[in-house]
Amino acid sequence: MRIIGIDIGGTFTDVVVYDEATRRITAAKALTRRGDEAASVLECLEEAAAGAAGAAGAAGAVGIERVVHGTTIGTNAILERRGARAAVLATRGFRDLLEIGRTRRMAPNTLFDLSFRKPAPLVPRPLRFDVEERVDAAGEVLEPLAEPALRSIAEALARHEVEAVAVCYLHSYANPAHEEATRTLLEDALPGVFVSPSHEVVPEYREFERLTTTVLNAFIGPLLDRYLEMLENALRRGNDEAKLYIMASSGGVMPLARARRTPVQTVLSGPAGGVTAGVGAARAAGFGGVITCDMGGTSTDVCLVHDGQLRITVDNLIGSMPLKVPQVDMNTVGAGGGSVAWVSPEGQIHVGPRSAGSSPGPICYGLGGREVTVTDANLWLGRLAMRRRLGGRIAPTMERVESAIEALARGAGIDDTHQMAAGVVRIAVARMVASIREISMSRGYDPRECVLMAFGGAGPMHATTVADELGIDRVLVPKFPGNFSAWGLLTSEIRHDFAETLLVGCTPDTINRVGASLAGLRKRARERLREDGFTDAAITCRETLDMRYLGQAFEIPIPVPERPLSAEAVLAEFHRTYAKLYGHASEDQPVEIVNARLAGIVPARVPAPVAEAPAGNGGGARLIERRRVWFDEGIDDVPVHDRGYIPVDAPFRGPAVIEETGATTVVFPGWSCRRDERDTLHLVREAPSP
Amino acid sequence: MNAGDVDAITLELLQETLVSVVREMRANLVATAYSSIIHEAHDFSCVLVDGEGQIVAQAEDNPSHIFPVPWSVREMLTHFEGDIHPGDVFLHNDPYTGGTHLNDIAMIFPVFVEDKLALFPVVRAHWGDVGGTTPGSISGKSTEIFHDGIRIPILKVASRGELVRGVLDLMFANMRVPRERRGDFMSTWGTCKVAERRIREIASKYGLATVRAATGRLLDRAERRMRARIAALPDGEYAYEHYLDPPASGADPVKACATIKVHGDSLTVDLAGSSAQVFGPGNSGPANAATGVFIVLKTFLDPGQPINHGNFRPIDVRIPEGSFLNARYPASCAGSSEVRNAAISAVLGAMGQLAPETMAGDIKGTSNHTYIAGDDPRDDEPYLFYEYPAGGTGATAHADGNSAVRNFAEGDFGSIQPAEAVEHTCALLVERCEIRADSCGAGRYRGGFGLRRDLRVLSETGLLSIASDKNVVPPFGVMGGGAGAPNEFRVIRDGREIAPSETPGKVAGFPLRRGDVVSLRSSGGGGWGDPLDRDPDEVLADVRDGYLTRGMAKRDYGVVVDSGRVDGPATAAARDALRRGRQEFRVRYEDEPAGSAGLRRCRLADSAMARLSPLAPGDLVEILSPAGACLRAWVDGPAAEADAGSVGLGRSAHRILRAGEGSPVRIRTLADGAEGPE
Repeated sequence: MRIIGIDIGGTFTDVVVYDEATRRITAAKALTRRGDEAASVLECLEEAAAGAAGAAGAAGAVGIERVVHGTTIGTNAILERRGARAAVLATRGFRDLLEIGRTRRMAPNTLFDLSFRKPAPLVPRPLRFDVEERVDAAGEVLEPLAEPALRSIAEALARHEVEAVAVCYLHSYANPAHEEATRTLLEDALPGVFVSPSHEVVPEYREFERLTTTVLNAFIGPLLDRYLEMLENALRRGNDEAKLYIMASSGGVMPLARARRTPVQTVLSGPAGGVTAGVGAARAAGFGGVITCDMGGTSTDVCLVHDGQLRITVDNLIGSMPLKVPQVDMNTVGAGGGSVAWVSPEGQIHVGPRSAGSSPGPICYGLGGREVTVTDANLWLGRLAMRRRLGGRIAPTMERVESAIEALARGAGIDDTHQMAAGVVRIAVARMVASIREISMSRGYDPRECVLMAFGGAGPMHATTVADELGIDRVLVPKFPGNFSAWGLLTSEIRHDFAETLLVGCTPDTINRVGASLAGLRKRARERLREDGFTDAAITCRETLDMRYLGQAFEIPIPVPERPLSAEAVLAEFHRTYAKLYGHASEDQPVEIVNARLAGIVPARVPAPVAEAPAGNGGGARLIERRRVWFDEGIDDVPVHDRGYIPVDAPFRGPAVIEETGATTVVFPGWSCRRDERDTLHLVREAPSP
Repeated sequence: MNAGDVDAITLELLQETLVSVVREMRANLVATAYSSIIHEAHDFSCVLVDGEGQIVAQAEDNPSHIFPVPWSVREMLTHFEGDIHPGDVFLHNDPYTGGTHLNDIAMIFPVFVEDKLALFPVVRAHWGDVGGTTPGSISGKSTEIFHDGIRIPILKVASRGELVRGVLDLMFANMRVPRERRGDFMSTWGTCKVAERRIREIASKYGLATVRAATGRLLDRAERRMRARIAALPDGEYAYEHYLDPPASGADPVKACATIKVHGDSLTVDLAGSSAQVFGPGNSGPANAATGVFIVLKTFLDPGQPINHGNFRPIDVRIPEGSFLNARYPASCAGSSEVRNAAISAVLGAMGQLAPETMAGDIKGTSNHTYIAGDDPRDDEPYLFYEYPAGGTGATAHADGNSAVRNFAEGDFGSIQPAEAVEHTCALLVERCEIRADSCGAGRYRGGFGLRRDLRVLSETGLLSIASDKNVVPPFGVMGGGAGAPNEFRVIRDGREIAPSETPGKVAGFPLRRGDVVSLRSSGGGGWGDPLDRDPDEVLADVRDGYLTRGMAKRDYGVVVDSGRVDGPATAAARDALRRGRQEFRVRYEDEPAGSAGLRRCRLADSAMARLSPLAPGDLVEILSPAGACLRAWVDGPAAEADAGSVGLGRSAHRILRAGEGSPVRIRTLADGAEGPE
């Protein structure tokens, strides 16, 4: 049986296949067909099936147990505003909440901007309806739901040919009865319309964030529903037993049926696979504290994982709207291989955030790009080779790269092109480093206690420079760094998140209420995972409490200490975590528990990869070439290795370059490199950090 | 490389690093603060200041403390020269020496590296209450500084790392809910310690001399950039005058004058001619008007670049002492944000003449501070509701304004809380949160709409306090565009609307009863261009969405909507009638009439007043200016009937209208700009 991970990105669709019989892992890439992503997926599946059949040596004997799919269709539909014709039903007086929100601009760099225009709300005013009903903060009904009035709203929805409805009433997290009744009535009156009640999407207080998340769910619901149904039908042909799972932004995967009900959980799931895999690979290598650095063409995603546990946040934004679904807590910075370097009239050097993308791309792609990118700078420094992509057309392209870098250097008042190129790389690195600082030091974690896990096409090339800036002594480069997100899909756990808003003090009197809430959540998690076909023995539950000092507005997640639950133990854990995060704690102050959260989890069972000795080789390294590479210390004649031929557990010293399909790793002077038995590269600083 | 020498790349790295320290400080404070205005409205600033009190790095999230911070540091340097040690902590909130309102407390924290003073991290944050007359400390009726709360001249509250308990106890004893205030203090202190750790790391990595050389270069570079932008402006003088609401019942409106003088690569903004300090909350020390001036200059000249002290060097701001913009002891300074906004509107009007293509309609002009206090029957504990609703933003030459959103001069943070949070913590029921129909300033491009938020009081009693402005003199339109609807605060009792104060927008402790509904209605933004030039289909779209009533569509735009369609012939006729009804006058310059408080007067003959529909001496009119923002004037009269076709204006109006003697100008009453449906 095989397990297949398929990840759709903006440019490429990546596939990784794990064969349980042979324990072999293979990877492939296809160009993504924008607008017809399902076709790319099926193409990849067929290719994987064919490849696997060939390897097995018996045509047709192909069994697929599980396909795990990461999709950006929901994300793209929101960013490009190509979703369903959706309506909003709100408590009377609140139909404009979607437009007003908390009166924020929700867009960066808009201070001092007189011309700023707020994007129109996803649902126009004529499709937003006031509903006569009211529940108070305790969940008591102040005014019953007026069903006759609701029926005439349903008629209006039909007239407007609405495809999806978001229902968000005040305090529905405390009492969902009115939302439930509304759903029943609407599903009855409007068959085929996607109805999404807010308590089902975000059962937590703060109505605006709950509303926008529900609206996003409704907006992409019909689209995802059609896409996933088509995918499932195609997959089932010939593979009756194959199960399809979808990657969620929490870093866990969910069964198809769940994804069709709350598709908003797939939004911003793009980088989650890589982070999950990075954590797994670091753990397998013996490291619990890891910073992942996924550097692609336009941006870099960084994430810190402490104690081997992913940190989850629910405070996210997309398209100027809050998105309150659990997401791996990470930072994205607009610096990637394609980021453009430029000099302002005042002589200031900038790198990014604009990217040359894949068209026209960096100058060295030879597709018409004229502006120096980070990739061009690396090429000029000798750290990157063009040979694989462009064959015989190196010389003229190199001249173009050189003259563009010369022009840039003139503008910045720098007289050496290599210094200029190195500066471009360092500035891009500085932006990544600042972004890592925000998720590490500013949250109380010391990056020096972590390893840096570098992947994505451009990650392994900059990794040791990033590590130098942060004082990190060890960099890991996993197997398939260029296809790592797809690999991550295979290794992700199956995960369902549940939450309940409590807003109670943390005292011996209230702790039983908290325990009861967690027990209720655990019951729901088990029920749901049983529906998915898992036994209780396979399920683990991870519990956290969102806590704050009474009077504060923001809470921090606290892992629930061992049973029996005691207020004292919970408080101690809160004060300890708080002091670590913010430099001080006030142990005499009352503490409040805002939400109880529980994740029901079934771990994936995919073993770690193995470094295979290439056939027909005596196990020795294979030198591709030696070439001149520019470092701060000067120009060096450097060996360039083929990764697949590097002997296991035979460390060698930098400088060196390691090439493979989809990525290049640079081992800087002062660093050494070892390939371990799981095919992870360990780059280790020889001298202690400066 | 010499220590004093910094290459271009190290410079970028250090700039990025220093700004990231500020971002870390901000994240830390938001996560730990107790006052909602800190963690929700982000009414605070984190700044790194050098040993001379110059801003080195600031993240631009909230501009309201740009000048107050360095001012406070210089005050501290003056008082404690030679007595500043590692571990010392200073507080300051005194408005007369660079503070804002007393709620804004600055913490100054010297960071030493190897016994040398390196930098000061500074946090200035708005604490929820600092004592004073009413809960929350700010109200519309304070008249001297003692009503505003506890005044802190520069004060050392920790010495070599040890808190001075007695001083802090005295301070907290003079504030409401001292537990929360201690929380704010501790989170501010923690934030400064985080910055200290990072500054030491940076200094040990790059060397203190390199850091100092780099910060010097960064300041020089910001200065050069600002000078280049100023040099591109035409030399000359540009003026505007702007009015705040009367500070008390029966008082005159308050005038803020701005004259921009561009000379080469530097620029002077002179606020001479502005009104004297007032007997009310609408005063400030010198730092707030300077901040307002700088916000507008930054917006027009150098948006999108980090702020540091180099930006200020080419700019000279002159603020007359004893004016409400630079008040003397013991004037109340509770309304510092209204003062900052007055400077913004005045400079905006003047700057618009320099750069009409960037110009936009006016904004709400105030924080709209709204407090409701009472006892929650659920737990018999006191509650304090605090919101500051945003309004519509001004239209531009290319687009309509935005509705109910933070404007260009404000940080991007919520001005209203989740209704679900309000109802958990206060004995209030949020009954409505809607776009306020018809509140936009009309125009070829219309201003944004304000919002309406209704809160029902569930406690036995309550106290309502409001400090607001532009309740009487609304946000102006430009290039012929109409005014936005003014901010408005009402209490609905037994189905009837009542005004909670005889001075609109200034309320202190108005007694509320159970069942009362407090209705907050924020202003719309000013319009841009002639409303009769607006595409009738765009007017129709607003009518269909319910943002604009049919009555207003006809009155302001001459667009007749019938059965969901534009009635073409009726619209043409209505627009024609509106055009014909417009009143033009020739400008007649007179010596400045001696009038109370120096308000702009315009002298009209009786028949002219009659033509402008029922006008009487003392009424407010708008004189439309082809140069941008309209000129507000109060009718003075009567002029001789021989002058019935002209309007008498003081000679200084020439600088604003840029119209010669005898030039035609249009005059309208405020009601035909925009103010509620017919």
